[in-house]
Amino acid sequence: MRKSTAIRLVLLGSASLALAACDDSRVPTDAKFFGSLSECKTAFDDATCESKFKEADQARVDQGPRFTRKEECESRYGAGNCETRTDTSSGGSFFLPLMAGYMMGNLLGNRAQGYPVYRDRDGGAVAQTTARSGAGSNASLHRVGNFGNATASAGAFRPAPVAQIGQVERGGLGSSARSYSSAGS
Amino acid sequence: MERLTLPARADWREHVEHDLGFVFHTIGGEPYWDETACYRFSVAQIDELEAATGEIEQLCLDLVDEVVRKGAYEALRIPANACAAIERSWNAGDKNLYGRFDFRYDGTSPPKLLEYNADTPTALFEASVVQWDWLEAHWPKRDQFNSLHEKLIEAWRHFGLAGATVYFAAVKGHLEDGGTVDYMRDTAVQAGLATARIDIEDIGWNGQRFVDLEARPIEVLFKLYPWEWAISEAFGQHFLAGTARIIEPAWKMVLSNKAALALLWERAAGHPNLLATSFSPDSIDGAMVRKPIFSREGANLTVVERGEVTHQTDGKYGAEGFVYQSYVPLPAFDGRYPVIGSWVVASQPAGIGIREDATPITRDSSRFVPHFFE
Repeated sequence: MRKSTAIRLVLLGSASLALAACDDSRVPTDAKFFGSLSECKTAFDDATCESKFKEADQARVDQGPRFTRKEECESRYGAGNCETRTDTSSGGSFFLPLMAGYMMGNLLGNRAQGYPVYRDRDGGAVAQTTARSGAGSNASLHRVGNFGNATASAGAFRPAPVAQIGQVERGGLGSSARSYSSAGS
Repeated sequence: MERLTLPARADWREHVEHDLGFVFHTIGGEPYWDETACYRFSVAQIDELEAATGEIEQLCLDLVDEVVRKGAYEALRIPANACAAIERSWNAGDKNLYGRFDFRYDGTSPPKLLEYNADTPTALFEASVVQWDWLEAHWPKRDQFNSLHEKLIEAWRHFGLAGATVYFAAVKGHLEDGGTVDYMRDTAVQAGLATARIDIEDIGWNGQRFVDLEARPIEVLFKLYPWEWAISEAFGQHFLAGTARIIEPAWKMVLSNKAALALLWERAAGHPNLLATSFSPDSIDGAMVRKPIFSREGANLTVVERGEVTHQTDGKYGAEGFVYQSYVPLPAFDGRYPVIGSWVVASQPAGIGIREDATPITRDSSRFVPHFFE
């Protein structure tokens, strides 16, 4: 046969992250996943993307999974996918997973929320939501899909490099596109 | 080679949008993906298309080698500042991923090369996934000349990119270009690569390298954006400097313009799969079409038959000059004029996709129509 034997899509269509509702703190059904800030900005406005990214990252640091040892974190989230932080109140350090992306949910109206998503060791996508209850708030983790066959470090959010060389210029590409209908042919 | 009509699948729009993520089946309110018709080929016809594609690709690679060895960039209207980058990328063996030849084919006479979209071919997702899915729905036991999906994943595995994050870039807000790039990214993910997505306009420069919106370095960039546009813009020099690995590589600039067609004819005049093409109209006997050296989607074409202009399309191209190509009208099937888009992946024939128009010149208003063969 001269056709593909089988076709599977991992990012597009219904193959992309399927949402599982399991409890009160479930991931909203309209939640969309973005592997990075850049990717979010291809679909939504900059301000929303940035504020939800910050919200997701803050939820990760404040309420996300914590481990005393790096090996414990990596045994759950894969090699190279954990970082270390210091707890501001106790002064102790701990390990936590990096974000593999984030989800924005409740997109209609003003209640849009950002949820961090981790990549576990088997390539599963795990979203963290926060439930508010009488006692305060609790984070819970939900397996929401798969990242497919990508390698362990694929999609892990790496913190921006500490050393930056000068300012970043932008706007140096794209002006030709305004004169024509398509960049492809 | 036959054109058949058949009913579209019930709820096909919901199916392709939801299950395949194919959101640009209709463009500007007009049908683009059209499954009310399909083409049927014989095995011998597919063999002929496959052989022609493989041969022309080899002729093209030989041409690049000759142009680089001789430094013969001027005939191709390639700006002087791009030559060093082209030479460097060819000599370093920078890999090419894909390209799409457009052939005129009627099932009887040999396929004739109309042009080569070597840098930013589109209609990829339609050819690779959408038409495959269509065949599975109707006649899963029939064959189709289309192993694009598997070949793309395999090609990514051999790119030597493990460890780097490949950024996928298209122009902001363009549904078809964005969709094509999203699909390309899907195949890279399946090959085990780390990937990211960014709009072309959001690519930054930090003084040493390209960076994304979080100032992370972009070391490998798949761009659905023509080289000749990029190098004319502010960051063009950085593209040429080779700080990031770009796909398609710089040497594709030798092939991604129509002057290459004239050079191919010079090297292989009389080849059964080539149409006579020249920089001078005097070298072409009979009907001819004038094409701008840089143009896309059928813009700025002028067809001259027996001394009269019979077809003309408008557009903004032509500043760099023209080539003249023998005009052989597209065959008509039920009043539609099909062009065969024949794909190469890693320089191997990988499948075909057909676009047909209601007029003899293919424009961006053409419809994509599936096929099968037996």
